[in-house]
This record gives sequence, structure tokens and C-alpha cells, in this order.
Amino acid sequence: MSFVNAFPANVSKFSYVGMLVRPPGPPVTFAICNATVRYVAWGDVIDPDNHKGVINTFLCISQGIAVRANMVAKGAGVIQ
Amino acid sequence: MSFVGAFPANAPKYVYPVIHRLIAAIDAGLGADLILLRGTAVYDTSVGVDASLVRSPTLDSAVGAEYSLVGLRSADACLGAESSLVGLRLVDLGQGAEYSLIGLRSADLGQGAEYSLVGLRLVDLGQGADITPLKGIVAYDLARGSDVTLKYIMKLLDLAKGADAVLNRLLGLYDRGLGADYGLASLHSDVAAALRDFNVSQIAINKMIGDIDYGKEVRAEHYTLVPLAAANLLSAVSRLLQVLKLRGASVPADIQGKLNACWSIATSYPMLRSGDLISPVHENKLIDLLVCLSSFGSAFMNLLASSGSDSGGGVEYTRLLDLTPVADRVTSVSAPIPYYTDRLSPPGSYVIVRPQTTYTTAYVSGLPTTQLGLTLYVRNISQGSIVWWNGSSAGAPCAAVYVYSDGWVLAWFNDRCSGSYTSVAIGVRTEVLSGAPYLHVVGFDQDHADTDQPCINVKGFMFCGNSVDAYSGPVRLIWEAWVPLS
Repeated sequence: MSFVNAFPANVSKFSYVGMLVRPPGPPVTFAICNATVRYVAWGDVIDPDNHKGVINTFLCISQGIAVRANMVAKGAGVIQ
Repeated sequence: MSFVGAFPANAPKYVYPVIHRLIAAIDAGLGADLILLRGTAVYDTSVGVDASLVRSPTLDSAVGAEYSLVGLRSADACLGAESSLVGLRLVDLGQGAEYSLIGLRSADLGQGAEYSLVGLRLVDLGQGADITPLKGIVAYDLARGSDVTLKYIMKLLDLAKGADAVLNRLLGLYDRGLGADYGLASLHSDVAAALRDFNVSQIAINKMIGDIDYGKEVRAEHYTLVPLAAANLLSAVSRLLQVLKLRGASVPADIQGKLNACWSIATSYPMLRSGDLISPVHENKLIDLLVCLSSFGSAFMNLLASSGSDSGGGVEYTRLLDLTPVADRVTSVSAPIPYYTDRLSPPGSYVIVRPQTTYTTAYVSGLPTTQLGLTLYVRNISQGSIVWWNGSSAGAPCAAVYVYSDGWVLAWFNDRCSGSYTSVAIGVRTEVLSGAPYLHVVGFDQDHADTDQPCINVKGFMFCGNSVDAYSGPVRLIWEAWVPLS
């Protein structure tokens, strides 16, 4: 299953790694959140692990920012 | 020469001549005909004042050049012509030169002629040359133009004397008087709303992520919720920084730049609807966003932790917060301690203290671990990388671990492996406080923290020690944390 035909009518399914038709893209490591995700390219399978890694990394990073923003906002009296 | 002496308050007939003098002074001080002409032209159109009088060279010597110059410059840079016109009026009514000048700038940023006009009066009542309150006005002015708003600002300035106090009063007054449609009140509500929106989107993501697995359908929301959530978060942070800036705090340019870059990525994300073709761009753009957010997040989260000498922002931000001392955590203090506290949810369960004092007992330290959602590491500031334990130079270890009989485990890091000094250290020990178990974590700096920082990351909340900025001297406890184990 590739990105090309992944979405429309014949509903795409997240594919298994064994279906990879080309090597995964370059890795991007986020040391703070202990995560590594990979860029993808046409022809790659839609890898749920990679995508979940992207989302979990976002949650990790954004939560850290949100916690600090909340703290600053409360400390400055911006929010209750 | 003061306008006070020159113009009796009950002599309105002198108003126009005063304006003329001001303009002339500006003209002489700057030598900027274009600026003068802009102001004059606007003034002529809106108020009907004779432009030729404004440019009368005979009045040039009546006013101090530096005084007029600043006012004119502000108006010229910030406003349209109407605003400049108002600025002139403001000066006319004013008393001290510096004061009026700053007021003019504030009014200029506000936009809208009627608004600025009121602001002029405001400045006139203010007295004194403190710039800080005027900064507050500038901030308000950016929001909108409103006669009502102006009146409130005027009262504020009238009361104002000290910089910080004035600014705070200004903010508060503005909030009470105007409600959500104007100024900081609006910003405050925007911050709260954006944070709420982020929380909602975060919950949606958490619910959705379980649907992403082998053999399951790929849905549009699997890709689109993240940029939406990011936009909400960045919106909140952006407005929050704006509030802080309006209060006089500085926001490092790199932070603002990173914020803008992330916002650009999030808002340009190619959105998907069911049935759309998905492409690698949809995944890769998310990764680009992560890279950007990671960079911005590190800078943003270190904002409070940084010292004044680091970025220029830490001190100001800390000052703006109502921090609660945790002095009972620190012993052997010989002078008032600048402190920094931070709390995570639940409130009070997690505390970070950053005393600038000597900690003579070489305790503590920490092992890198991922348990409890906790990560301890030493970061190289200049390289932005983690300092690893392994490696050596000339036979000297780069790191060492010490275990103490009272339960502390201390890890020392030496970034040059020279053995002549130690850079930083992190330590841990389990403790029971009020019957509850905690992991007591400590970050130390002996020297060279200007390149290395001991850091702690608890459930996504990162904190790094500030720069002690010394190459020798005693070990310093630069932060400590109690992480609840229960």
C-alpha cells in the first residue's frame, strides 16, 4: 500500500513493515522525547508505527510546552 | 524651556502656536523634511490647522531638539498620518519633554485619530519621565483605537509613577474597564481559549491514536489533528508572549522567530478530508513541525530558567511571576537567594529550586533513566547535544559515579576529561516527605556550566540549570526536584 493509492475509495490500511518497497527515509531523532521518526517518500508503506511515533512525539513536545505555558500564564495572572 | 512656563493652562489661544513650535523643533532636530511634511499634511487634513504655520522656522528655537525629535521619530515610524497628528497635539498639552515624547509614541502605535488624541492628554497628566508605563500604553494601543480606552489609559498614566507598579496598574485597570474587546483583557481570554482548544485537541489525538495500527483504516484525522493542535498551542504561546512583552518583558528574537516558523508550518499544512489522496507530504510536514516545535520548545522552556546574562529574558520573566519561595529547602545560605520555583500537576507535588548559593556538601546526582517518565541528562549548550558518559581524554574519565552511604547516587560529568575540574553533576535519592515517597533529584554545577547544563525531563516537562558562569569555585546546587513516586 503506497501513499499514492492510500486514501480514497478502496480504503487504505496501515501496512506491515514487510510490505516495504523501498528503504525507509532518513531518521529524525528527538532526544528530549526519546523518539525517532522517519521521513517517507512515494512508494513507502503507510507505517503505523512511524505515524504513531510522530503523533506521540508531538504529544510529548507539545505537552512540555503547554505545561510551561500554563505555568507562565498562571504566574502572570493571565489565566486562573 | 518648558511648556509649563510658556503656556498658561487657561489660555487655549496659545495652543496652535505651541503646535507650530513643536513641529518646527522637530524639523530642526531631525532635519527630516519628509517626516515633517507627513505630519503636517495629516494634521492639516484632519484638524484644519495651517500647514505653513507648522513649518514656521521662527518657532524652531522655542523647543528642545532632542525632545521633539523623539516624538517625531516615533510617530513617523509607527503610524499613519492621523496618528502623527494626534501626537503633535499630545505634545502641545504636555509638560515635560521626555514624557510627552514617549506618550506620543504610544499614541502613535494605537492607530485612529480620536484615540491618539485622548492619549495625548493622558501623557500630559502623567508627569515624570519613566518609560515603562509608556511601554504599557504602546501595548494597549496596538490592540485598537477607542475613545473609551483612551480615557482609561489617561487615568492610568495620571496615577503612574514607578515603572513596574504603573504597568501593573495599567494592565489591571484596562482589564476591568474594557472587558474582552480591548487590550490585554482580550489577550488574556485569547490565551485561555487557545489553551483550552489545545487541551481539547490533545484529548482527541489521544483517543484517535489507538486507531492507528496495522490493517486499520487510514483516516484524515490521523494527520490533520496534529497541525490543528499545534496551531492552538502556538496561538496560546504567541499571545502569552505578547502579554509578557506588553508588561515590559523581553522575548528573545530567536524564540519569536522559531515560534513564527512553527506557526507557518502548522498553518500551511495540506489539510485532508475523507477521500483525499494522501501523500508523503502529509507525514513529512508533520515531522517538519515536530523538528520546529522541538527547537522552539527547548528555547521557550528554558526562558524562565535562563539567567539574565544568557538571554536577557530570564530575569524579567521571573520578576513578572509571583513566585513562592522555597527557602526551607536550602540551608547554609548567607545572602538572600534568588530562587526559582516551578510546579507541575498536581500543584505542589513537584518543585524545582534554583538557589544561587554554595552547596558545600557534595551530594547527589543521577543516573539517566526513563522510569517514572523521568529523564536526566547533561546537555552541551553550544552543541545542543547530550553529553554522554563514555569517552575519555588522556586517560582521565569523562564521568564518574559515586554512591554515598546516605542513599545519594551522584554522577559527575567532565566535558573536557581533563581531571582538573568537574563540569556538572546530577544526583538522585529516594526520600519520604510527609509520608509520601519522592525521588529527590539534584543538579549541580561546579564550573563551566556556560557550556554544559544538567537537565531533567519529567513527563515532557524539561528543566535545565542556568549558567552559573564560572570556571572555578564551589559546587553549586542549581536546581533540585522532588518527583512523586506514588
